[in-house]
Amino acid sequence: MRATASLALLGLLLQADIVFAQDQPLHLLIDKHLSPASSESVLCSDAEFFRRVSLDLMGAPPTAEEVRAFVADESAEKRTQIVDRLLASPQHTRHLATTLDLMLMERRSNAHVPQDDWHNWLLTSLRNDKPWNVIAREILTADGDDKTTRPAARFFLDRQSEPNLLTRDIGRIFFGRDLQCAQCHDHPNILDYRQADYHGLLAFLAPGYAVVRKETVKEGDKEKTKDVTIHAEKAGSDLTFESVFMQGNPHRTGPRLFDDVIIDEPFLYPGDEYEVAPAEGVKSIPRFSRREKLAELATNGTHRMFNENMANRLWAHMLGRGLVHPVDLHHYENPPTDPELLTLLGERFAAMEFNMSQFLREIALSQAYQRPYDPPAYVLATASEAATMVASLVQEREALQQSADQSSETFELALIVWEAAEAATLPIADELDAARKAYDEARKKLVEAQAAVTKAQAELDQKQAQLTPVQVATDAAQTAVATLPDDKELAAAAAQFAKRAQELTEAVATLTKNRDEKTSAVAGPEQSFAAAKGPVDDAVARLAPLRETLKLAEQTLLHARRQMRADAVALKALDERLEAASAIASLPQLREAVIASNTALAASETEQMAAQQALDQHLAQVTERQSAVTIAETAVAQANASLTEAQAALTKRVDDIKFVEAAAETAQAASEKLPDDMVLAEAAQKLKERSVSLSSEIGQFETSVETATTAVTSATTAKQTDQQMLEQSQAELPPMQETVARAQTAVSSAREQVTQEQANFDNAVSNVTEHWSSNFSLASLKALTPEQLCWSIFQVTGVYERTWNEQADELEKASPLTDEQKQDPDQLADRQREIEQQTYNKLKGNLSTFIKFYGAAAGQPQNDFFATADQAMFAANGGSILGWIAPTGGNVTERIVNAEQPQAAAEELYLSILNRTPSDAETADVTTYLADRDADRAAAAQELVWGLITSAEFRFNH
Amino acid sequence: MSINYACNTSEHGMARRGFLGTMAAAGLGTMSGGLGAFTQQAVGDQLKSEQKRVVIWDMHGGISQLETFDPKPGTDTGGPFLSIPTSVPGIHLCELMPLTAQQMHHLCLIRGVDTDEDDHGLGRYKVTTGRPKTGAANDPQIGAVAARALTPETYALPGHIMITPGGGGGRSNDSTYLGPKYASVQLGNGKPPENSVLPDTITVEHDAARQEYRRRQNERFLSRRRTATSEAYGYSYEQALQMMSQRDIFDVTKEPAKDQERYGTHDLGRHALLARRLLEHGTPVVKLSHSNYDTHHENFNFHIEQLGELDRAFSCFVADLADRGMLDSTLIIIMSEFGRTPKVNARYGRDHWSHAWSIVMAGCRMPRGLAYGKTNDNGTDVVDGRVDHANLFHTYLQAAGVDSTGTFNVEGREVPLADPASHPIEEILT
Repeated sequence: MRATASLALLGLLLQADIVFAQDQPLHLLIDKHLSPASSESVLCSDAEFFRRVSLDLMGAPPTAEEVRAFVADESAEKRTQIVDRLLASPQHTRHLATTLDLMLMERRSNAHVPQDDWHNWLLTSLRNDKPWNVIAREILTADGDDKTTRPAARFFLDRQSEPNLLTRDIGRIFFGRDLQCAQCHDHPNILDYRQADYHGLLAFLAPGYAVVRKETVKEGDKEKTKDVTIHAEKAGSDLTFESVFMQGNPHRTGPRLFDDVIIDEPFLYPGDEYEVAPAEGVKSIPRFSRREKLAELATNGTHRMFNENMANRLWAHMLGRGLVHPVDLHHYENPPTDPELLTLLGERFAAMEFNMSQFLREIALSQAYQRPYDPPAYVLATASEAATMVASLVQEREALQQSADQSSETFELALIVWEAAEAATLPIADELDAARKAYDEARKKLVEAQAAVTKAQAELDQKQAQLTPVQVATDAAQTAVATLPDDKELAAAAAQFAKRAQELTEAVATLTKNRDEKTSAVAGPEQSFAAAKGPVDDAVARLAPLRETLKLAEQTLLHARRQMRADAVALKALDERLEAASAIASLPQLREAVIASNTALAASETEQMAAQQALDQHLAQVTERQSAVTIAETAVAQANASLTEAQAALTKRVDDIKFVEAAAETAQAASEKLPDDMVLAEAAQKLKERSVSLSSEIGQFETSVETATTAVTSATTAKQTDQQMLEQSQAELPPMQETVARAQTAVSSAREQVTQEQANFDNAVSNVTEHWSSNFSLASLKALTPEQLCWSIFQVTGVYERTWNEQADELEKASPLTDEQKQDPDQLADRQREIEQQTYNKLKGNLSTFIKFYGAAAGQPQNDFFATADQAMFAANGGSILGWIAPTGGNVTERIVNAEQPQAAAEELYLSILNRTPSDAETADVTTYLADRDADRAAAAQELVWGLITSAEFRFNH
Repeated sequence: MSINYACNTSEHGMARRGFLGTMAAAGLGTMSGGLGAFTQQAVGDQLKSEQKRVVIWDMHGGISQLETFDPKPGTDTGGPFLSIPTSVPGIHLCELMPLTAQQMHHLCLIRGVDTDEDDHGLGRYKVTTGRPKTGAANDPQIGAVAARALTPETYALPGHIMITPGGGGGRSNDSTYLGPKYASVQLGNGKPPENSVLPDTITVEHDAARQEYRRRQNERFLSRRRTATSEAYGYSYEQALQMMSQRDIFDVTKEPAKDQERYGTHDLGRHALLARRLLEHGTPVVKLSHSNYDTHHENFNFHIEQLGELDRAFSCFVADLADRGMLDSTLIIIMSEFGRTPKVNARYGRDHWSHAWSIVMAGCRMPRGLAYGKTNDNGTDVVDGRVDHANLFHTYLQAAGVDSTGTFNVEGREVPLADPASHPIEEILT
């Protein structure tokens, strides 16, 4: 276990040499780069995989039935088979079209191209297996003039043809680089993004503009004029720019792609730049189109950034995050998780001719894609190797840092050389601008002079054409006058003709003179124009070597930049590995701390218990002594009582004696008076005897009193002793109670310490888990897009299936397939596509609600997760979801209502909505929930369905 | 000065420990137990002690500085109205603002505003975002920036509320790249947020049962692996429940009838009173608007009518906040896309004018009873204390205790809060 669990670590820490076998399928190559977090959990479960891949490839989860069948399937190839089945589904094409739409347009409003046209263009392109580079080329070149490609022009048109916006978005979306912050100065935080990079890309796009053309369209029977906006392009020129932070230090650039030199453009004299010159309402067409050049350079298969950008975006689509993440911030301080893997993906994507579905298939088949979401149970097993690695990485880092410093220095030097070379070109470039301007002015003057000749000639020709018939008529009239000399009217008419001929002759002479003057006036402009060419050619000739030098300097600079970037990337990658390894290495220590704090807690608990026990014992003693005192007090009381009794007996006896003595004396006296009375004498004798006898017994009573007195004394002494002992015990109580209180405080603080240490450990584990997640050793959490969420809810509530079946029936009724057609897979696929299209049409109206609540704002990246209360209130109180989960048509709610056993209800619920079987706890939960609500089972079932649809597990793909 | 920027606010993003830390600090051990600890009282106490709030009065169309805060009576541009003394000797307002004049000792007038943009859309962009609208730019508005800087992570209700004159509810797009969380939630004509009432078909008891089931289910999922996003998702449902249970705070009719009378029964009066109510319940940012000041015709008649509403509602609002001791923690701003031309046109109107106009601030770090900046005698130019949109934007944030030179981290990008090439009006910040 220990040996194998360190797999992840090896993947994390070792820069293993990976042999690229070009003939191996890409998914196997991917898995040579990326390793699992633990060999115990290389792949996720079937059910987890099925939900994940369905959401990623077709935008919605599978049905409960499909999950049951898939899990039961024993074929070893079942994952490959399901991937292929999903890729062949019409929902896959739809989902990919939606994904591209979001990526390209980011929910911008449809000002010039209707959403349906755009979506259908993407969809049709994908149905026809149009590769990504062709789609991109069409987008980068379409101008909206041609009806068939107008939807592709949406990228430009719905960004109002705004060059800066296009520069930003083309940089981000097609090359993975957000250069916006480098518009006004070199990027303040990202050294990799320079102002020259921004303006180089801008130079491709700056000649573009929107032109509005009047077009006649038919609306019903009427013809109407409509404004149609199309994208047009002018001839490009150099862009000049300077940093807002360093004014007075101007730069100049032609078009060039990030990390490349300025492109070579054909030299065209002013006036030769256009096939169609710009004019109001006219789409100008330059002889050299920078935009087409951009499209060509980007999409010809050799542009690494273009290729890697889409490979990375498709990777992010599947894995939840790009190898470069965010996907449009590719720069050396945000390097790819695995630079070699990104290179490989870019190359292979181009090699498979930009076929997106094929590329997605390879990702889906990789183990990296099929990782579990749950972290491995044995996180600590990897720690000791990690500690060793940390030490060696720290050493390695020093060497790398040196190399990075050096290449950064080299870059700075190259930058100085380049800046000097650039500065040298600037005055000549300005001269060329001036010469071009002069040339253009001379050309315009010449054109004007030539136009004046043409105009004068035309006027002359017109006059001449009038003169000739008048001359003929005049001659004829003269002949007629000669024939009829007396006809005065005729003579007058002839004179009139002669006069008009004379006038016209004079006019022709004037116009001839004018024509000649204009003709000779051409000579000047002709000379000027001829002379103007010289300076242009001269400036071009002088500029050429300077530009060549600049290009060389630029190549050196770019080389230095690549080196600097490679070093920085290596350093950063090492830092990430170091951080990950440190995080793992720190785990045992944190674990120790948890254990130690637990031990301390146990010790303090023992102490507390001992103290408590002592206190309890002592309290018992106190109680005991308390009762001893009570007993002693009773004894004292009893002794006192006895004494009182003895004293009373003594007193009585003394009284008795006195009485008897008195009686005896009286009897004696009586007997003496009556000496013969024997009875009396005897009685007197008896009384005397009795008196003596009583007197002799008195000592006994006195002894009793004495004894009782002694008993009282001894009982009192005993009571005093007990009292003292009790007081002593009571006095000992407070310090013992304090000890107990102290022990209790110690326990509380030890317990707090345990909580703290446990939290530290949990945080560290979650840190490690996050590292694993961003290294693709564990699956990530991917929030469903609004569209995915909508289709997923339709899927799990049965709305989709119900609508699908209705549409299938309708199509079957309207145009039934013949038995023969039903045997033809192509026909069947077409039919599936039609049903999907109609089902989509039927349900798509609901998308806007989900977009409203769950979609990011227009023009912003659409993949950032956010959760707001208005979403939750929509889910909790809005009519839509509550309506769809009502029990009907055999949907999950109805199946739960009808389930005879709660276990079956729970299974149906979890398989339908979360695509997995419930745990025992979940089954118990559902059982209790339904049992409590026997009277309104339908409502209870609905609440359960709601509870799962609104759970985090449903909201995310994982 | 106390900058409340770095602590207890959301520019920490949703870093898990930060998030859980705040939750734990609020006395909540686990997400699954509901939000008992987040009582309004607890939040309210905390707000009272440190929370800063911002309220924006947005005067649509371009309010005339000459008929309000920078009158020029008796000049060729001054128009027919007189100026009146205020509670601060030496500062005069237009006679159309008599009630506000009595509150002048709370206010700070900025009279040298020059935003150099006379187009409604572009002017609005400049004033609300503090930046010019250039090609690709799509910057967040002051309300969203302030909401992101000032809303505590644990605050259950929306941090940014916009009371709109009409229309429905929903979420605006004024936060752009800061994310929908900070976009304003609209209360159409002062109505509570949509979906904030449980449907008739579900009883309170059954709602509680289903929410409990949802929580148990989430806890089972989270126990497998805790992530900030999954916790944030669960938390949004608790926020929703809080919002539903505190729906009353969106109901202005719960305010005393006397106050409703005092503020005025027109829309602006009701909205201003609602804004007061929201601020008292801790809403960090509230925006309300008054429409429409675009007076190319009949500028003077129109301002008589419009300012009657503004003067009454605004003066009550300022006085109440001062009375309740809320002015030290609440920044009030009156803004507009621009002012109006000194020159009166042939239709007795004034046109768009961005070169010498006024905005008003009060509260927080703003000085009380000051007029900063000066225009010339007939208001055609700034002669002292010229400031632009970027200076103002910095100043709003600084006044509310936010370091306007800082950055937000937006999904890995460091974006400056305000134009880094500009600075606040340092000399007036107290």
